[in-house]
Amino acid sequence: MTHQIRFSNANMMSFSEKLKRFSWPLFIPMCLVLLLSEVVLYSAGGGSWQPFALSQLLKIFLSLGVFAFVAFSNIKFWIKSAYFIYAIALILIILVTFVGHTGMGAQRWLNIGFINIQPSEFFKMALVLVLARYFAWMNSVDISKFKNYLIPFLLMVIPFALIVTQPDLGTALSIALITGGMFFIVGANKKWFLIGGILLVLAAPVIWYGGMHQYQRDRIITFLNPDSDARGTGYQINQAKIAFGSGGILGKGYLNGSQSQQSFLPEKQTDFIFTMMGEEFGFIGAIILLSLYSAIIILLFWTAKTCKNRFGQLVCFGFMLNFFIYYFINISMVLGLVPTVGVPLPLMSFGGSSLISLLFGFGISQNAHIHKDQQLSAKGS
Amino acid sequence: MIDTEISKQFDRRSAIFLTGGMFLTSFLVLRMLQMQVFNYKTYKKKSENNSFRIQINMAERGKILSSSGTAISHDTPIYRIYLIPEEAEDLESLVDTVAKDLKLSKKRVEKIWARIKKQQKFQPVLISENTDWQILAGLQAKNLPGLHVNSGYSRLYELGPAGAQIFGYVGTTEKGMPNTPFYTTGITGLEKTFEKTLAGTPGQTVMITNAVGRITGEDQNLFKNPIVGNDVKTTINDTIQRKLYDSLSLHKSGCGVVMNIENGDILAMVSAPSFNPNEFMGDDSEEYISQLRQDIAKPFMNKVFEGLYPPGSTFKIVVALAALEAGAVNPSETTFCPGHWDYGDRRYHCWEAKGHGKMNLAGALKNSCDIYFYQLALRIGIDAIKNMAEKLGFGEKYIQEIIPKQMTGVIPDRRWKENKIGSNWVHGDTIISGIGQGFILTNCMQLAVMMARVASNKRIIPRLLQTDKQPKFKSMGFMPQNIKSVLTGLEEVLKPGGTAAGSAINVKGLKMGGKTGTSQVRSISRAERISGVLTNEQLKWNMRNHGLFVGYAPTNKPKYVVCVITEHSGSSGSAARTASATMTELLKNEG
Repeated sequence: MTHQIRFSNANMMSFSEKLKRFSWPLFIPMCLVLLLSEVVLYSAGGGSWQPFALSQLLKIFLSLGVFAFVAFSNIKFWIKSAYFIYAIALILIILVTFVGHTGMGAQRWLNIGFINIQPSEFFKMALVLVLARYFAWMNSVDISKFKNYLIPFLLMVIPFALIVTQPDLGTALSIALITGGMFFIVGANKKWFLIGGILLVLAAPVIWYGGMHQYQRDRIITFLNPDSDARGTGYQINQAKIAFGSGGILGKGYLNGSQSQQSFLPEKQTDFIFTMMGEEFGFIGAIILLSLYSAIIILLFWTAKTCKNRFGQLVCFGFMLNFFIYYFINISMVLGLVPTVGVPLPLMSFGGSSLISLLFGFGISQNAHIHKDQQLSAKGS
Repeated sequence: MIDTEISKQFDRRSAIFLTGGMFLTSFLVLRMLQMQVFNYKTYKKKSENNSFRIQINMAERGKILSSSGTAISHDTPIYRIYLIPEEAEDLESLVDTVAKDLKLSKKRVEKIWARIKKQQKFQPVLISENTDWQILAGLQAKNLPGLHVNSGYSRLYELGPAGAQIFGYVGTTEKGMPNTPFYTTGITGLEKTFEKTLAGTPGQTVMITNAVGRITGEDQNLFKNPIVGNDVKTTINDTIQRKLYDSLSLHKSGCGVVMNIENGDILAMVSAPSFNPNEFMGDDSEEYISQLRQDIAKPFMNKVFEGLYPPGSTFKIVVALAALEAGAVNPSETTFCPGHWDYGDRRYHCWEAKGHGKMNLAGALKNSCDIYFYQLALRIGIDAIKNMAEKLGFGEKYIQEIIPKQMTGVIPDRRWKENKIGSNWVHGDTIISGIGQGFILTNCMQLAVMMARVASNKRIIPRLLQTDKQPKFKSMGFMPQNIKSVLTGLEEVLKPGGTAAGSAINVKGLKMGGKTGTSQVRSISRAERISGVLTNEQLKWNMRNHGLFVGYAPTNKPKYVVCVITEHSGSSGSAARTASATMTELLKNEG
């Protein structure tokens, strides 16, 4: 395999120079969504800083620290350590699969002393980094060779298998989609996707009977016919739909979402936070959030497109994919468009692991933007 | 630079992604439109019909029982009336109607309005507890939306203030269960310690309500029956508990404990003044509680365990036994008491300024002669005293798993004084330790344990919970004749001429033995002694001496011990009389 390696003598940028290149348009919508999350979590706590809003505020500050550190770091560091970061994330996935804590029927949490972390959230960003690192220095000839996709496929499929057994279908699906998307954007042959799709359809019955937990099958059955079990599995999604729909155009008003506040909308602070927003702020509120998300996607895409080095471009693009998949799956789920899978709403849901990994993603995209004019080598020199 | 072929490919393929993304996002928007705009009415109706209220059915709390099985604290069913502001059609007229029907005071109505403004609209506001049935039925007949009745329980404390610090009380806490404003938990005492045992498991009724909050049905599948809590069976004898409290209440402040020596059962345990938890529920409860908080006699304090007192002359039992066990004294050996004793450059006074004359051990205990015990203490030294005191149970905590807050007091020695006071131990320290003054501090429970161990020659450990097993206590291993020598002296104390002569028990054929104590709260200066010691009546209440009495009965076969401390009562008479009255009641009832 011959990499087309380019050397550059670009000097280290000073901090003020980096600050000048900092993308405020990318930063501001992110902050607005974080602000909105505090507003909604305050309501989810029944109009109180406890138990969610204050705790999340601390996590936001911590994550902003991570963001700043990553954004202003040297991009070469991330090139050099991409495989290492991937290895650590994979080890965490292995650990959580075998010794992790079980929550909501799935083994996703790793308890390290005082906090629980969800390694699969971090893994998504590690995967984006390692795929970008792998493909960034390939020329157009290598990139069309099938064998060059085998290693990255393995990088995805091993953790994919582990995450499926946890079982965390939402995250597994996300990493498969991220990998597929990355393959497509670097230039994989379109025919391969067609063949892959056909294989997947053929494998579906095997997965249904051999690889799924009963509760996952229940969720899909319930999704197809929610009223079949209105008090059991269907309860959650039915409640969510009623809460969201009854919000109307303008919503029921802040702190007044009767369904979310008084009845038992489950997980209203985590996966179903969009429902709560929809109930209290209505269609207008939901559209505002969706617009902020879309703005973030467009800005991330623009950052990728204007990046003059391939690594930065692929990292930004990978993060954009990750971010889109996050909110698309979550919102589709709470609106009853896809079966219930455990995926949080990015930047909004209560919880630290997803927040930190997302702000790491924003940090690395800012970093790519700051270093967009630099020429980089595969050795990170 | 990225090579142009790759760059072009990126542009082409990312266009596919963007188109796809827009397409997918528009799906979400359409779905949102469908749900929140086109189908809004359907969902709104569903939300109104679907809204349900979980009514928690409180579980009856377990009882706290006395040794005979009668209830000390138990639940009694009550009806609470409350309203949910957002369900009312006209909140003001609703409150007015209810206030009129229930004849609520103006103050109460103000409190209700304050509550309504403070809380969120869907949270319940308590209007009245202990509602009369007829008025309740009348109100229900009016069918006022927003008004609810909850059947629950109220805690009744049969002993009222007698031992309220020990049994504790229940109340509502912020940490209680969600959506259950009337959920109570144990706040103090046994109610708190045994919360898990007593609480039981609440049940639930799920009510389906319509748009205006009227209940339209009930979801039978989600109904859960409450499970009654378990009882806690104590060793307390409620008759004796009341008696001890009543006689102790004749004094401003104090504490007392009665124990069965055979099994360590605590039969009565009282701290006075006290509070009546039954009065914590009424409208004037806040005033009542703040009044209690300001009381300098500390009604919330469990003085049996938390009050520390110099044991005074009651400690002479320890010194006497220590000297006998050390072989340092012959019970018939006499010492002359002229009313004072000069040692080193200090003069040590006997409480009897005229002096007791020739005193043997029994006489010294009977008259509580200080001179005798000054000299005895000096003869055996502080280490022997401390050793004996610890054997007899001072410095220990008892039933700590039930009553966590305890003060252990001080049994000093050389090292203790060097560490805490920073000066060397001197003979004078040993001498005044001989009469239970100086640095020594004990609590009421420890004194009772000491008396029990001396009277039985067994290592008695007190208990407050009944178990099926009869506890077996190890022997203390004291020489029987030494125990006898001490007890003979203690019997003399309640005979004519003794320091508690007037406090003999009033039960035919049975006698009590014991020891009085008066412990100084302040030290008397030499100048004051010359100019004439102030009488206790001349002193401020909280500067007066504490009165103490420890006793056991019957003398022929000790079965019970009693310890009473009357704070700042000036002398030991009140303590001895309280102990005597309680012991009389106990032995009389035994037949």
